[in-house]
Amino acid sequence: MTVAWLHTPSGPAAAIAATVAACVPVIRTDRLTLRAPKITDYPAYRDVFTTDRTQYMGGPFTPDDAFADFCQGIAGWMLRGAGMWTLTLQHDDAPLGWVYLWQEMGDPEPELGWVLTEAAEGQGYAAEAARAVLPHALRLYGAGGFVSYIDAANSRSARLAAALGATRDPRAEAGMAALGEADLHVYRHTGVPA
Amino acid sequence: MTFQFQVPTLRTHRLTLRMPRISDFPAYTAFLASDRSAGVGGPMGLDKAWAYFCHDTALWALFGHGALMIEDSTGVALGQVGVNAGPLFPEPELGWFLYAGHEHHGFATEAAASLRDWTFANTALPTLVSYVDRNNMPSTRVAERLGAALDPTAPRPDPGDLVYRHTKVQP
Repeated sequence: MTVAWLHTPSGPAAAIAATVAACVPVIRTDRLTLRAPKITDYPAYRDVFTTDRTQYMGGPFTPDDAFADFCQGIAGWMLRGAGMWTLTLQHDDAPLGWVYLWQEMGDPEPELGWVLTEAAEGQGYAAEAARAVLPHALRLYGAGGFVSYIDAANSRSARLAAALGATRDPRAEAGMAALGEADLHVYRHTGVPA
Repeated sequence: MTFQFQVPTLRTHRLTLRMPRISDFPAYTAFLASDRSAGVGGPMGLDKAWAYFCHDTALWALFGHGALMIEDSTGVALGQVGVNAGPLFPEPELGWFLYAGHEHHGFATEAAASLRDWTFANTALPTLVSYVDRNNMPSTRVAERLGAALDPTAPRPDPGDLVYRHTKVQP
């Protein structure tokens, strides 16, 4: 099916969009590229966010809410200087997932987060991408100045946070419980693991 | 690291139209919490207002067009005008709203005409629509002053909407 809006802009509008994308630092790792999101990433984003893959992130979302979330990740760069990267292989532009450095509405602190497509799971991509974002996060927020909010049942992301050197912060967890988020673990990042 | 993106600033006789910034959010939220926002899907709470604000802003990165805040000559934000697109809209839409107390001066018409002309000059879009609730008489009059024509067969997000179509005028 042809979707009228689902193509990258052309002409002067494309040049404007490119100036926004240029605000997003491109990060390359051994296998991955982290780049600015674009509209053609959205179908993959919607497919992840409207399924149980986002059960630990408040999902599954409606398609409208999935688009709102996608826009929040992009607008973050423009409004607050940090947001969402799309994660791809170096020689294939298809999204493997997304890494977030942002402060979501209602969250007390900035967060480093991640989500992968189903096909990209099990290969260490989230760890590789999140680790590559850590130095950027440290420059932006300082050691101890950002966390990962992880559902108590999400053991895979908990292992990843621990591998990144983050440790649970009981005080911050008590604060989230007081906000009604009793099943949320808060992992505080204090540096880049050796 | 620089955050120097180039979203246009448009100037009209009385107004400046400029990129939304985070300091606009409190007044934007207050508008969307009020009954004045019925024409744009409100009233709504903080979470939905933030989703809208991010949407309006992110459009510039995704499509190279989007929303601009309407400012008067003293730098006070009066409302917003925007060209919407994406999965939430049947086709690209020119929309506008004014905060309370700024109606009846022609500001919405002046701002929307400016962004409409910019959009036709800088994007590949041949037409734009405006979805206006049929009970929203002030916005109906704005659409008519802009020279838009009713399009009775165009798809619309809500069956109660009127669809006005703006067409690019060849110079």
